[in-house]
Amino acid sequence: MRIGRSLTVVALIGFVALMLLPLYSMIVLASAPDDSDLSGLRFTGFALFDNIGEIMTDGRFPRYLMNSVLIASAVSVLDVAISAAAGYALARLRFPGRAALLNLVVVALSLTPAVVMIPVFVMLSEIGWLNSYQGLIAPFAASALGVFLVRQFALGIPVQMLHAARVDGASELRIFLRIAVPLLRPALLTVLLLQFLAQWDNLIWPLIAASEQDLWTLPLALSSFEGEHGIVYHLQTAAALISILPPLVLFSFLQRYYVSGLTLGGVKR
Amino acid sequence: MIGSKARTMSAVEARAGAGLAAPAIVYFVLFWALPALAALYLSFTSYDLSGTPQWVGLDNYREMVTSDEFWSSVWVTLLYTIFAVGPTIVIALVVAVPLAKPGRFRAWLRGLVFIPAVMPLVGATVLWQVIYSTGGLADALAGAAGVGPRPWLTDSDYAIWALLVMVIWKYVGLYVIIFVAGLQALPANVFEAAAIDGARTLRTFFLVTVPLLRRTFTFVIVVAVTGAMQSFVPAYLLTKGGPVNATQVLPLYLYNNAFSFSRFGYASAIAIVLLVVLLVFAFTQFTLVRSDDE
Amino acid sequence: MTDGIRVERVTKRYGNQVLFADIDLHVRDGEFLVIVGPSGCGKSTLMRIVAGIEPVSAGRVTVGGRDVTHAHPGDRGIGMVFQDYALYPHLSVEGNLAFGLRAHHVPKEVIRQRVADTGQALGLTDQLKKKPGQLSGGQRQRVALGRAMIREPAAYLMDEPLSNLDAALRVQMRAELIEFHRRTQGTVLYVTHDQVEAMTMGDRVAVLNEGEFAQIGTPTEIYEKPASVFVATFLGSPRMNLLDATVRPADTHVELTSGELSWRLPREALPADLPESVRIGFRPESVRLPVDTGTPAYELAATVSYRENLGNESILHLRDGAGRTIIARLPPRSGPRDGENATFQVPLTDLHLFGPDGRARWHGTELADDGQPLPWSA
Repeated sequence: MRIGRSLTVVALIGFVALMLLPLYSMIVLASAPDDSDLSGLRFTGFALFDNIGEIMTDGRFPRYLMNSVLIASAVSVLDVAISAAAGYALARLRFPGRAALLNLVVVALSLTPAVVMIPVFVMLSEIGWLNSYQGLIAPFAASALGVFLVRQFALGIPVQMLHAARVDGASELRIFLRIAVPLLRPALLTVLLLQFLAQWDNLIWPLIAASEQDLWTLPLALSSFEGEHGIVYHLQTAAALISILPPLVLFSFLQRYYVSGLTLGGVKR
Repeated sequence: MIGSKARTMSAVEARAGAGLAAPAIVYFVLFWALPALAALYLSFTSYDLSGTPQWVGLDNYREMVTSDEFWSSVWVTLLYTIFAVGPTIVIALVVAVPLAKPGRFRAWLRGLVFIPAVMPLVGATVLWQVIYSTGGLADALAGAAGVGPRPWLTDSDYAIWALLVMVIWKYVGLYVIIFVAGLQALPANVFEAAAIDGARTLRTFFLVTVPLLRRTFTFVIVVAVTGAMQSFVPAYLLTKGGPVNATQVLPLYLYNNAFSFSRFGYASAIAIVLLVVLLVFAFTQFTLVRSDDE
Repeated sequence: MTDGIRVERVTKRYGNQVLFADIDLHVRDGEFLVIVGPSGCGKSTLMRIVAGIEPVSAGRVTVGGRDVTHAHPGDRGIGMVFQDYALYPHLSVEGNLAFGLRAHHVPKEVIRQRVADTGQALGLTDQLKKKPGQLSGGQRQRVALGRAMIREPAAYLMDEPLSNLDAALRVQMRAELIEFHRRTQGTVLYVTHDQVEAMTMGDRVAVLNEGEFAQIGTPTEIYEKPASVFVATFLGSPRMNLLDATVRPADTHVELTSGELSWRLPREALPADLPESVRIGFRPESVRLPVDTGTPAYELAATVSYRENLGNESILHLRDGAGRTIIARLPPRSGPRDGENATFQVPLTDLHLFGPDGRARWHGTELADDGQPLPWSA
């Protein structure tokens, strides 16, 4: 038994090492002063900060970074606001249109984005929203997953507590803002995190809707990263490393929200 | 008393609910319901963004079923889905069982395994471009194994497998975490009972753990399959669908038709087919789970 | 000035199902009225109608003389204490108390003063900064009471506040609620399924069954003169013994027989329209060891099936000659043991007669009220 157990631990460590090898090579490559050794196994020097400095001062990269921060922030805040209101209303209020909203959420959950992508593109091109910030933000201003997640969580708020607030004379808006929102905080943070990460990583929509370089985001910039003399791998890797850091930092702070969002409905229930 | 100024609780509640739900209703109608209907309509038309859509009936669908490129794309998608989902789930489960046990060290390992899953896909794919480049990590490892360098992304025999290795690496951690959550939600006394019965580790795994994880399995398979069938970024970034369409998955075929060739009608027809396949799959899974519950 | 709470001809329907039709209830100013009934009798719905949480199908509700039938819960001048208290878990005690005042945009200074006063009145001064999760069960109830009273409501509604507490805490909280009512002199409508709460807390008790008030009266009235078999058996534990009996009128008296038991009653003491078959009810504590063996008419010979010794009393399960089970409650350490035969007495004044429809026809206590010599006294 004892031997079996330590074998398991050794195998686990081996597996983890294999998983982390590409990351290690990423750091090595991002730190390389040139592209002489692309294997990423040996440090050929440590020029990570020089490389990052070069990326940040050369060309439009800071602008892409700003665009990504701006769009991902705007989208996630909008999604949280709209999903919180709709999810709470679905779970705890009776109103005309409730069944309609629930049906819309189910429909949106079961549709693949590929289906709506073309008509939304056509629609935005008709109203002149291609190549605009609003064109990059509006299509993601809410999410079926967000509404659904908030609704599931809001079902845990005791109706009695809302009645208590009503007897106290609070308006429905005050009840939402002062009672529901604080109690929904874990769900709202989950939605915020998931949507921020999704937008930070959104390649296809900016690819379609933003042909102007001023509106490019990080994924778009990374996907066509070229220096003055074609692809420069160590700089491209350093840029990729920059794009990876904010999600990793966010994740390490909000890990439990992330996991709860992922496993919602799948494991328990 | 049901006038617009009624102050009964149900009237107040109805107004508040409608108000809170209104933005979401507008959003879902504008960006999901109407576009879905429009996509269905477009799929029966020829449309290139200039002028108005021309009704062509079933022509797009007819062209699709007779197109070699479409069927090649279906085949690639099928291959991609099976070989991305199968190994990922098997590896994830095998790793999750020992990782699910309590302890600080294991919690730490779980965090590390999860890192690739948290990485943005675009950044990760860019990293794998370098890994698969000439003289990159893939060549170095192949050399160490005595195989020698290979044209990983430019040879149609290797490209799809190269793609799959990256995708498995990217997502296995996610399913490890989901399985760990599922395992930790299982009642501990089942395993204690199995241990008292003297069941060996492997027996316990197949006869106790796997059946109890049925729900988690269903969830994981639905998420993984629907995810794989809609996967666009790795194939787009690593190989652009090549060489010779060897990695042109359906979403990429759709994208190329719509945004490279401006064939919005035909692309919409592809989207509708993709949607139908996904719905049939999800529905089958759903009914299977239903029948399990009874 | 105020008029308590009035429920007038209120009807509540869900679709085709009528929960109650045309019911009336008046909680007098300053009165503590308890609605008690089995689960599903509609008592919680009635309270929610008074609170404005549930709309009426027809009828009128007034609080403090004001028609609030269609008013929002916040505009009814009520304070409410909920089951499990429903405190706001993310707010401090202070925040819980001040929530309603803030909603009404009361000036900050006033809020601070009112919170301080309320906290002091309820002994919560040291707890004001704590969250509900950090409080004991008793302190939580006081916060719930404070939240209800801080807006100085015309009436209080309490919806089974004690039902989820453990037995010891429930006794203590009951005492605190009684004390609260004594101090505030507020009008209280209290809903419970617990007969002990009903009997000990209510100035009056309203027994609700299947959407109708079976009886409304003081606890003593309801216990001593139950209006129906339902009321008689719902209140009191162990429950009242009920035996089918036949009524045989004679010249000067009426003879009631039930199995081997028989009672003789003066004819003029009984209502003239007594049906031929009735049900006789008497409570377990009315079954006693004989004090006067000279009156065989009221004697009950029975075998003790088993006895439960509770320390302060004993519950005897008896089986009479006709095989019927009769429950008796005796002082501890008195009376026969398991399996022994013995003779018991049931005083005439403790009898209740119910008609075949379940409605009460006569109570033995009326004999005592008349001041006539009791038939079995020497």
